Amino acid sequence: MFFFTEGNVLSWATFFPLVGAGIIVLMMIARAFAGLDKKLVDEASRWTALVFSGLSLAAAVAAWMLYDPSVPGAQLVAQVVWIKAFNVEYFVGADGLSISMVLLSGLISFIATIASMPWWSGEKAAEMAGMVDHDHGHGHDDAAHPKHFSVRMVPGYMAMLLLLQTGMMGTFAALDMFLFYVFWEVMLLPMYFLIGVWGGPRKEYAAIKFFLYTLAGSVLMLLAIIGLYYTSQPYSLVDGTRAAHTFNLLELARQGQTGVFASAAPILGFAFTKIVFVGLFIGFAIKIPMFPFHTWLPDAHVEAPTPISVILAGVLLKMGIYGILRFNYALLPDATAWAANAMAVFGVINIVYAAFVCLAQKDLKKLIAYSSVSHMGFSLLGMAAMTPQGISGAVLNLFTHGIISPMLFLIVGVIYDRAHHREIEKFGGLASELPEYTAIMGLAFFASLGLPGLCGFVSEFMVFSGAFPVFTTYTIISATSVIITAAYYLWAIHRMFLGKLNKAYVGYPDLVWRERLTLYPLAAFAIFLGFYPQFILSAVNGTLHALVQNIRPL
Amino acid sequence: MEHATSELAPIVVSHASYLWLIPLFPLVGAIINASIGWKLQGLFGEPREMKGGRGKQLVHSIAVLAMAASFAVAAYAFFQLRALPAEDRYLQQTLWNLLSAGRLSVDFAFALDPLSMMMVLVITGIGTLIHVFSIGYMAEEPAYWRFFCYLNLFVFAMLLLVMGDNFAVMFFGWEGVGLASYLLISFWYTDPEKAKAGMKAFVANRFGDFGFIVGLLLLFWGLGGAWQAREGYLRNTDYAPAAAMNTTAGGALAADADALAPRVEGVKVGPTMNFRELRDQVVIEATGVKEHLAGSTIWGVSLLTLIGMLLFVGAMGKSAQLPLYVWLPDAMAGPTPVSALIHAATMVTAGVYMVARLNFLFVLSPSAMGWVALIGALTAIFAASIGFFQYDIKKVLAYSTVSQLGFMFIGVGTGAYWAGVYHLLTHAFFKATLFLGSGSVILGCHHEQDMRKMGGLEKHMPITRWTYLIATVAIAGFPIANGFYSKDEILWKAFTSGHLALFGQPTPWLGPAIYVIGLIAATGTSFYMYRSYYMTFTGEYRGGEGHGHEHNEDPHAAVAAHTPAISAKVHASDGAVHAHGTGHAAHTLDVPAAGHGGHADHGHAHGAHDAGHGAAAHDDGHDDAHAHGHHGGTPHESPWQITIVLATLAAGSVVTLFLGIPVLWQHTFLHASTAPLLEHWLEPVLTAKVEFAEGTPAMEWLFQGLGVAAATIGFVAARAVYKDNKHAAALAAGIERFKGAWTVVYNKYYVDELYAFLVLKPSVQLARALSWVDGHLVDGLVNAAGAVTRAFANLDGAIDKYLVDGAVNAVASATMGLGRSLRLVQTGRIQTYLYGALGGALVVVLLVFLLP
Repeated sequence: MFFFTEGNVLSWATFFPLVGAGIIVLMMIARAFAGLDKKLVDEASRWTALVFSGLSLAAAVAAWMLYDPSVPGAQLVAQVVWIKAFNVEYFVGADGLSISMVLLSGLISFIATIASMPWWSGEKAAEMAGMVDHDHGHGHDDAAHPKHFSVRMVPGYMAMLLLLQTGMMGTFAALDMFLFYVFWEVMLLPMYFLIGVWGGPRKEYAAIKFFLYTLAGSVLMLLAIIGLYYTSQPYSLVDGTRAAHTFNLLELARQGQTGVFASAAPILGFAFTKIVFVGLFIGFAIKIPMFPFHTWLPDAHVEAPTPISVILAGVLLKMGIYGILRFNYALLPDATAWAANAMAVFGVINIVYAAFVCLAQKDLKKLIAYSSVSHMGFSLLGMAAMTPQGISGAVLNLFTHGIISPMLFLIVGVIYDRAHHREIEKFGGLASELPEYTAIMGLAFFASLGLPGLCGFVSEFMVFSGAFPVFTTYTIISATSVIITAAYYLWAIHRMFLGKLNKAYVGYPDLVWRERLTLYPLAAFAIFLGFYPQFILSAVNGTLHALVQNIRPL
Repeated sequence: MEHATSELAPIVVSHASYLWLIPLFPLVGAIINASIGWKLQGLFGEPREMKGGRGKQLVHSIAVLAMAASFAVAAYAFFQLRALPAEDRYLQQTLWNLLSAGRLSVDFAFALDPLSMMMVLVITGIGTLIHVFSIGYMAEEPAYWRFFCYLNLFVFAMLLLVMGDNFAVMFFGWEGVGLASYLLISFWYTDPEKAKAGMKAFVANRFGDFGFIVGLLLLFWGLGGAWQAREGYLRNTDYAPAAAMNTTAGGALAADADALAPRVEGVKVGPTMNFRELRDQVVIEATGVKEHLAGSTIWGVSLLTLIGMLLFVGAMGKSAQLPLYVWLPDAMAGPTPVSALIHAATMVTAGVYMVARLNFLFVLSPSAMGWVALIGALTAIFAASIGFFQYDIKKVLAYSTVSQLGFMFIGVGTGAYWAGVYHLLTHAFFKATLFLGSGSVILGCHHEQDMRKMGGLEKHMPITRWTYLIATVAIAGFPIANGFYSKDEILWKAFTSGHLALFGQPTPWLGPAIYVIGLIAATGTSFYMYRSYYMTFTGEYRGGEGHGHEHNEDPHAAVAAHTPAISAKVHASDGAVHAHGTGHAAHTLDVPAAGHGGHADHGHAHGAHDAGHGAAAHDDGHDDAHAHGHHGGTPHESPWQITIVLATLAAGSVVTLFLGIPVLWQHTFLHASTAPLLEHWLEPVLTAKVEFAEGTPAMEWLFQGLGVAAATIGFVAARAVYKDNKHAAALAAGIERFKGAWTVVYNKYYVDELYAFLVLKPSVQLARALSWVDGHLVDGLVNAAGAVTRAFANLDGAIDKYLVDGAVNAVASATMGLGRSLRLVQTGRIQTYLYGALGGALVVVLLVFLLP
């Protein structure tokens, strides 16, 4: 595929954005010293972000096409020794677990980048239609009415966005535990700034909450990683050097599945694997986010600018489940079997509890944030069942939710850019004024509530059918969410879009081209996957089924 | 109770590569109208809302052509199917593998067997007619394109539902029709009440879907469990392929799933979503699946009973049975063609279709059958009783539909599957006629739906009147039209079914009890239908009296009158303006000044309305009507697109009686003893045979006589009370006397209020409570953790500042102080230094000696 080869494609996907970020930093320096025009630098940094994010997407697509689902184990591997003193390698590759996430990450990153552009600004269109009080517009940049994020400190934003993309892609591609942790932490910082600098009114609170919460999880994770490392058995680095311990995730998985960690000395009287499992699990559960660690999410979403919400919901949340599968499931099969029931219970709580909370939300973005919490519960329930349908459904759910939730957040962004608020009750009858927007909103909402023919249904159904033989009662309780979910979405549609048009919104401009560019590809994907989920499943099934077979060898 | 299942063979499949065209045409029609329909409507520069505009002709041509093409392919398929030997009538087409994981492998595949073939012909046939009807009925609708788009979309989904080769595709359609129904009920969405009705329909159906999904999961699980004893559910049915996959291909699994599936006697067994595979392994006794399923229990309940009951919960939602019927009457908020197509002829029969499709499963559980039949019977009589006192003509028909669906479930519940399906067919014809007839009436009466303001329409709308009458005869159950034959067969089978059970206990009395309930409901049916006929068509027209307008639920043309003025704003959304038509008050209070400006030129919007009718009469009513709410003016017959459809469907309501001539009649009159045509046609699908008690011909004649008597009683009573609407005053007095009971029934037994109290309110309260918990407790803990940390940090900071840093500072200041004092020492004189050094040395020496 062009100049991508099996060996370099994942590295390109990971580091293209970093190269772009570097170029933007150079431009910022050049601006500071050579006094380049601000507008020029802004525009150049936007294009740089777009190009390098696009290149990363191209590499991700190439990786998807180069990936051969019939080959077991990791593919597209690149492996060199990185820090010899600590036996750390630069080791990236993809298997059925990560390949779909690589594709998703590339796609959502690029769409978020498009959404970060000020082109065909919905806000501007609304202003030109005379709809918005000019004080709310671009002209002012005071505390009460800050400028739109897309025109504020652009090079910094774009550099952060690209750095974030590198972190995400790297996290999915890494097969070295240390490398994984590095990428994991790399994601954290840009996210903190993107929310904290370019966010809404309570951005500092939300950003710090996000940062500290995730960091607390990371610390537990780091301890678990260190514990795993020092318990691991000797293994060779790629250059042939014999090492006492290893960070190689594939080797660690092999060791875990042959009982190396299960036979390790207990810590404080608790089995080693259980302690490590819990440490890792909490770290990942915060990211999912799993009840009761989920409350950072609504705050972060509500304050984050639209593209950051898109990335947060579309990619970052997936890392929790991904991490659990990559670490807990692969490395600690016995502890995973031990924890399965608890995971299922938390999954059910996520699904039903968050769905009810959605029903009571007044802020559209908060509603959608909670619906993410609810939908991620399906992944927990499905993977806890450890049946082929369950685990495949769980990973498919990552992908489908990764398509739907960005759509939902983009949809919130559209109306927020025009109305500068998100209060569901304050709208009304928008369908008459914004028909195209209403149609695409309807598609996204119905996809999220699990209408067959759109992608949300398939993963939901697979999770149900996979979990039912194992967790019959839990599954039945979870299935009530089909009612609640329909209720909260339809009620939101009813209050916002149907009924008599609220006079305040007469003359609002419908979708602009930038919004179309972000929404239509996702909509097409949602329909495509709704009718052909095997597109993803055929790539992930093999690895996943082998994974759960290790855990519950019946 | 059952026999003749053992010699059944696996279904022989004939592949037909054109099946996908049947649903494709409506889908393409929907896509075209969705994407460019709005542009097409304005293509010729005419106003988009213009009645009969060329743009609108393009729009409806696409939709109608799509339907006709679909019908043509279906007809072709019918002939191909008929040419096959009866037992092998199964056309199938697999398009692609939808998903596979473990033993769950689902194809996107279609199948046509005699049952789905009949459904497809009904859907595309009656569907085409209703599309044509809509051309006339929706002529003034600004969002014309949207209407036809939704209608085509509905047909697409409905075809998926009946043509699906497996549960998954069926469920695609099942939910798809739910979506289309939602969109169409809420078609005039600017009216919050109509929008709410759509929402209610969707959510109520989701309650059913919940049952459906759980039932499906139980079935899938139970089929897997069939192999538990021998091989272990998870290991061999799910993991055997996975084991192979480790060494070979993960992706190849899909292809191999079929090869790897366990087979007994050449029949694939184990969990499947495929109807054919399910049917084969259940009906072929050698597989042992039937025994296994019948012997399985879960939570102390027979597995099969639970599966049947849960799947029927799904049917309760879609087919509007007790207690989930509540959405259907509200669904009348949609345009009348929608009520005819979706909420009478096709979608609401999906539950009946599903039970008939799974007849081989339901027949294994007498308790599930008893449950289905009992719910059907209760619904039949309950809804009929509400139908007695409704004044809104569409509401009467809505409750009638609920009631008739109940009859169908009596049929499929007692095991008279073909009779239930036959009633589905006959009902599709006569109820479509009635609904479309009511639509014609509503149009003719300038969007009046209250029967108290109708009357005397026989003079003004002869075609509508006669077709309505024929359909009324059919539904009431006189042998000159189709309804009698299906209803009679159902009731007779109910009476003779002694095999039903409830909760595992045999209940031989249930069949006769259902018969009695059904007979009473049939009497009621005849009564309320003739009541609606007499109130509407006989006596004097009462429309011009200027009553209040609380029942006007079909205001779209009222709106059309206003649209020219607002046309600048009427774009894709169009429906915006509809809210203005909700009632009398709306016209005078809510319409902005600009809206009234439209009166000047609404003539062209309404002008062609009554081609071939008294133009003077129209003009007469027109100013008045549009200024005061559209009930003035003389009613008029509807345009040809409407009447021709009415005539066709009414003819169908008679002709289809030949599909169900009872054996008794054939025997008596024709000296033949063949099964009724439809029963014969459906026989290969409805293989589940139930033993009914044998009745003598005399008894059968008696029961047929009772059926006709019931219809006659209803008819005579309604005629006595309502003919020519002469007794309105006496009636009002009668109502006054029994005000309490009347109010309860008139208000539909307050079931909606009960739901609001028992389901809606608690749910919202729970949601609020949980939201509070989330914000205050869960997040409170997080914030508390943050606060504690901060407090600790402050404390730490204080310690740091005052103790640690204090110590440092103390050291520093001490040092500085010392330095300062020492500076004094630093005199620059050598002796002082020497003294110092000496002193220091002395101290050191002393310390060395003094310290141990």
